[in-house]
Amino acid sequence: MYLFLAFLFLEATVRIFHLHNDSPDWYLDENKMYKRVPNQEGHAVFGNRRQQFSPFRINAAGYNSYREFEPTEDGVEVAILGDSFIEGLHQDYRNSIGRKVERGLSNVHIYEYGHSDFDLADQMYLVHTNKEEFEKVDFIIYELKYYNDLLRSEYSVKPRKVVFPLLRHSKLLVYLLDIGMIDPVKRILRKLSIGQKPRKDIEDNLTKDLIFMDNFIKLNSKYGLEKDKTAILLDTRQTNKAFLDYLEKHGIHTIDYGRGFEKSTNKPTTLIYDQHWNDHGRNLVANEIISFFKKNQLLE
Amino acid sequence: MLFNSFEFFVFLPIVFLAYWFITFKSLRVQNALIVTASYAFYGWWDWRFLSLIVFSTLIDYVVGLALEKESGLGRRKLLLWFSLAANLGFLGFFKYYNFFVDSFVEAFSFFGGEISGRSLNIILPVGISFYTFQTLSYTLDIYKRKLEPTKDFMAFAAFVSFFPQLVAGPIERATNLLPQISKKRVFSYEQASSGLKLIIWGLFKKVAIADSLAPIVDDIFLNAQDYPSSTLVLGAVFFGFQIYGDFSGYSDIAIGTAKLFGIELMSNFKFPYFSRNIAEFWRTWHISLSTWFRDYIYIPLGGSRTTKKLVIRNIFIIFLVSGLWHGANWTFVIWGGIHALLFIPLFLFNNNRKYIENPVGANNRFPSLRDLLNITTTFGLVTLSWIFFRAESLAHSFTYLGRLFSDLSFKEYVHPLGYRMIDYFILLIFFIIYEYIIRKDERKPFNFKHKTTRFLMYALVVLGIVLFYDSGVDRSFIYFQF
Repeated sequence: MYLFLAFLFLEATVRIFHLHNDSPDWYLDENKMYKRVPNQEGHAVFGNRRQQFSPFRINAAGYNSYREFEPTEDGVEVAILGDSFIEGLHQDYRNSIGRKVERGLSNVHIYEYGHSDFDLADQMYLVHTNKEEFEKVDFIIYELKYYNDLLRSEYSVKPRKVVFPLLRHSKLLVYLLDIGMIDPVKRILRKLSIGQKPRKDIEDNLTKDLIFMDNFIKLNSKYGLEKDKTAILLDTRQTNKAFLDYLEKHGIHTIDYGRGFEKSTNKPTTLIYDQHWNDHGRNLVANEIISFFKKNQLLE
Repeated sequence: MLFNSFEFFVFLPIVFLAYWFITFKSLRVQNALIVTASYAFYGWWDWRFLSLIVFSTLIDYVVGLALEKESGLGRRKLLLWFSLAANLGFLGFFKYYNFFVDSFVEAFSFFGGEISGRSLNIILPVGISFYTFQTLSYTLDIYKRKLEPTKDFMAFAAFVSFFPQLVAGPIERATNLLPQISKKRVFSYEQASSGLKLIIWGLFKKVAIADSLAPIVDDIFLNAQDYPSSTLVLGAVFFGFQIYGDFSGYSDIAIGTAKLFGIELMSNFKFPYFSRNIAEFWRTWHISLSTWFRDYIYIPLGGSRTTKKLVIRNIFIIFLVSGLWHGANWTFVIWGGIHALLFIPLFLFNNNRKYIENPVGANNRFPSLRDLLNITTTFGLVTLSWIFFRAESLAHSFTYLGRLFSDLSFKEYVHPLGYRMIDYFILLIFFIIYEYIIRKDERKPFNFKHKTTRFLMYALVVLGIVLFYDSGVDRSFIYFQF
């Protein structure tokens, strides 16, 4: 009886003080791509005691943004594609990287196509299947984390599994999952191969680099990158030199945020309770994008 | 296996059910289950060191029986020395070998000599200081004819290895634990329920207090040279609460777990931070160890019933040995020495037994101003001594203290990871107030008349655990290293 009452008390506390993280729902669209269900709102919460609390808003296109994506022939629009760092559920959507870039460049609309776990295959496939929309966009930036985002040479649907889907109706359990209290159970389930299968890691670095390069070439030939209106946002410190040379040789622009991060030794660039960029980190990334456009005068 | 781990969360109910529902008919089988579970509990950490426990168990079992049969003083002494040599030999080798070799080499070179000593790469077996002292007390009590040895090997093995208190105490006396293990236990709902309550309270102290403060303390001690005195005070005070939460939390979980098996362990802590002088502090902090030293070292040396000079010597001996017991480092010896220096004036002015009969707020709801002043002073002195306890080396402790008293400035502390400090202040204020409310019985942390109040307290304590749970910290107990 006490246990049940304690559960109710904690469930109510978590709900009243909104200690739990809201996670917008997914759906599979007609192109067999997972997207967020449009027009959802909620709050991203990090830390046991709501140390970080920021609103998100999923627009009609299914992305977290304060803008609706309506590219025009006349206006100047830039699309930034990427993973959860671009999706930015951990930040106030009104102060996202895109918003920061807009403030630094006049009369430019930034569309952030970010979804968690979105690798380069996802990003390029999205552009490929929405050609008309992206043709109207003046410039496309792909965010690439070298060691995560080049594992595939073509797009296929990655099932998005929700851990303990039924239990997620309880905000207390969502909260406990988020703060890591249920990690030992998850670890054991993983060991017993219930739920996610462990990803096979490629041990050898040289093999890894060759595979990544090959995947990039295949993706490029399959979905095509328009060199003149494309840049890759990456951290050169975390990217293979041969790959960077390849991009340079083939005239593909790169925007490196690694140098800015390296200089910022006194100020952390990531959040405390989460590995995503904090406001300072996002400023650094946005500044690199702004400098890139100003320096290369690509939007004029 | 850690009390605050998922493994233990699974292990405990299995052992509990097997204990009361499968093996309850036979005492021997029930004790065999305790031994098996305890060995599994210990072996989970490192099964190789189980051999030490088994060896220690065998030696003291045999020596105990031999001591009973033997009437000649010489042979009895020989048997006692054999047990002491074996038990302390293991302890000395695993815990103190490197310390003594290094200290000897350093002392020699200080006087201009050159000597080479070889340190060994030795792993300290978890809990060795605890179970060694427990088995020693058994042999010593038999030697002094205070106790009859048990002939039941399984009961003795269960006494030595009883998993709730195997790795960090309370250091039980055979006179208390062995009779309970040697007779049939009957399940009592009240006892099990109070055990569960103690486990919850212990978990709160460990998870919400100790573990949550740990990253802040670690940062302040690690970067002591960069922080002003205000931050260093914060670091020392937080460490005081960290170690209290860690160790008394462990003891509460151990006592609570033992209750689930129908066994009552001795209390190890009685709200030591409400002590009004150092003597009272030592009557309420790590009681099982301080009474062990009192009974097996202090009293045999003459205790207080000898000349003042000798009593002062005895006080120094037990505090220094107590310091050394905690760890093979001069910082612990100095820590013990400081407590001896704080204790001796109380003895000289006959104040060391002043508060035995009347714990703080015994007859009043609130402490008097005088009590409050004494509590604050005692806490301040204990906190200062903790600096030696926590520091990595003597040089580190002197750096810490040096800055504490030289850079007298205030600057708001900001943890590199940005922990919100106000949360911890609120937590500690709640903790102190709550401890004061429950101060009359350390074994009943939820002793409230009204059901609603009781429920609210359970819920708040569980909420505290959840709110301050940090999945990123090392969750092992500080006293495991002793």
